[in-house]
Amino acid sequence: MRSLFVRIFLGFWLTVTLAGGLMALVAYLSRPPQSQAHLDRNLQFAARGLDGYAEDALNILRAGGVDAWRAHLATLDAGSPLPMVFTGKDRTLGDAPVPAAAVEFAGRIFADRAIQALTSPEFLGFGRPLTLPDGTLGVFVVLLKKPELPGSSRPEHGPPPGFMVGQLAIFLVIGGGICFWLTRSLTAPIRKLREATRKFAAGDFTTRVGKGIGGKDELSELARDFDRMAERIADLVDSQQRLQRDISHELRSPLTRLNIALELARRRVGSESAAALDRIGREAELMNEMIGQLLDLNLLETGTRQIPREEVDLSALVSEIVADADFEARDRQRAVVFRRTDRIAVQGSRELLRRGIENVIRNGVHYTGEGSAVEVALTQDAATGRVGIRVRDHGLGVAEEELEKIFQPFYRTAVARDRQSGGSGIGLAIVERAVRRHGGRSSPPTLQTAD
Amino acid sequence: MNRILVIDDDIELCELLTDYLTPEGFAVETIHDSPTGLARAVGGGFALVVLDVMLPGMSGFDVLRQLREKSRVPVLMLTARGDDVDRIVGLEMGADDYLPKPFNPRELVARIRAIQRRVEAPGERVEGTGAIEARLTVGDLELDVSARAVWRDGVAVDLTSVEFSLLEVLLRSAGKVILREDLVRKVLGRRLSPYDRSIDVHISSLRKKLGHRLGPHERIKTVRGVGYIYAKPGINHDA
Repeated sequence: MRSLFVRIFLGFWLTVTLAGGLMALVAYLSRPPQSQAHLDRNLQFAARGLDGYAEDALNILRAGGVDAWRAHLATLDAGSPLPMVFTGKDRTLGDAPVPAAAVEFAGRIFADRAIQALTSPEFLGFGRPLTLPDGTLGVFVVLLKKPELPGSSRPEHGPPPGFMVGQLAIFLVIGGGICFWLTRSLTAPIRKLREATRKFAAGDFTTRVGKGIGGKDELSELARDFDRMAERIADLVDSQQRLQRDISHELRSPLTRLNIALELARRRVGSESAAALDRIGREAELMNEMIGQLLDLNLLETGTRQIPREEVDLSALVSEIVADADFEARDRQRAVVFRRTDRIAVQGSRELLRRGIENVIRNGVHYTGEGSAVEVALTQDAATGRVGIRVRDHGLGVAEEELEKIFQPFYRTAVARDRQSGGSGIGLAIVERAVRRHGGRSSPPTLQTAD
Repeated sequence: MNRILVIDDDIELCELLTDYLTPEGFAVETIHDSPTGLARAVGGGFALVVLDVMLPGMSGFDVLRQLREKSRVPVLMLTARGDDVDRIVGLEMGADDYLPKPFNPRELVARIRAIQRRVEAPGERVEGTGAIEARLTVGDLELDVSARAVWRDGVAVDLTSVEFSLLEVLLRSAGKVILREDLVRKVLGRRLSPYDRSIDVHISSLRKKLGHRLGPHERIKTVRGVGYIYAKPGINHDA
């Protein structure tokens, strides 16, 4: 459900991260050439300084020998350039501890007999051959220890190793935060729109996005368009339903007159016409019933109106309806039975629930066999709190391929058509809508063999 | 003379009703607009008024409300079928009965006669032994049967005609369960038909006007699926 959020967020974040990484790489690759060659070009300059240090060293050695040199070394600060005099490849005057890199460096100068520069992760150094006071050949080296920066010992040489951990983490977190905010600002209005669309699709035609999405961007325009569309659809549905309602109401006027004319005719004609007049009366009654049910259906489908919510005791309501239906069924040698349960309360419209329940029970009475009883059961699931109303008739049942269609208005099963049983074909549609508007579901009947 | 006023804007329907009702012994006058209908109903000296709810302009309810301020003439409302709110409002406002359109005119005649029986011969339909008392006192209520007036703790209570008849039946059987179908037969003068809640509407109005409780008890207790019982002072029916 939040996949759009996740996709945009990851997309942004990845883009930012990759762009950042790429820039770092480009910067690394195009950094100024600070290599051995670069240092070698500066040897000319370095040699002058190195010569000065070497002259000092020779002066100390000439004046005081190795002891003076050792004393000199002791006076040096830890951070100052460290001079060392190699008398052999791995020997130095004064036996000062020498880093391995310096020994290797000195070896190179012994071999090349030329001034050289050293770059290592820790040190910067210069060295040259030197003729010692005793006439033997040595090597003079000055080492500069590089300053130790936390996480970066060589800032001038591209991304140092620490960059991959510390700075990258900070970069990712800040980038992530910005991306998160950006994505939210994009997806939050979409989510609001989606909620509105879904409510609208569920039949709540009063839904509007309204001021839920501010600003003047494309999304707020879309929200305003949605509202305009919703307004238009609600108007259309309203006028269509009003028309249907008016037609149904208007049909009743001629039907009322027809009923009176029928009774007037009964008075004036002989018994030979009685059967035909009875038939007219029955058809008029059926028409009237259909009009009534159409109005009920209309009421239930009016999505622009919210159904009123009150607490309804279903157990009391069902037993009331069952009493009425049983009363009606007795004339046709059928019965309706219901065992009262404890109070089962639901939130909803008492009137709409009544119409739904009444129609499903009357449908059962209509199709149950003569002398049989329609059984009504009311149950409540202890865990979910959902309430079930089960109506069982002892009729012919419904063919499997017709099960899905019986809740459509005016759909008549093959059995219903064959028997000309005179139902309106709207009853179960009312049931389905009444239940749906209360957040429930109508399931088609299952066939049970007679026991 | 059994003079009846029909107020309905459907002119043809009115003609048909006149044709049907005249041989039944009614003198029918028909009016097609509300203001004239109201004026005639107030001053015409009719035995009964048949009033359509769906009148253009001033609705049947408005006519009924204004009529009840001036007259107690029995009113039978013609309502749209299935419109329970219309029915309940009409009954609460003092209509004596209602009939949903389209109706069978035989049923209309039966209801007109039932209303007239109740209004013309108060107390007669009550199954009692021998003479009907003119005054009836139960608990905090006092009924004057011939004047059709009620007092609660000495204060007059304004009841509609049907409510009075219903209360009378309830009080005469105070402490005993009365079946709904018996109430319908005795008070409304007809058989109980399924999905007909008129009697329950009248009971609910009575409760509102008289108060829901009588001392520690429920004044009119519902025996669900069976009927109603009026609390007899001193007897606990809650148990």
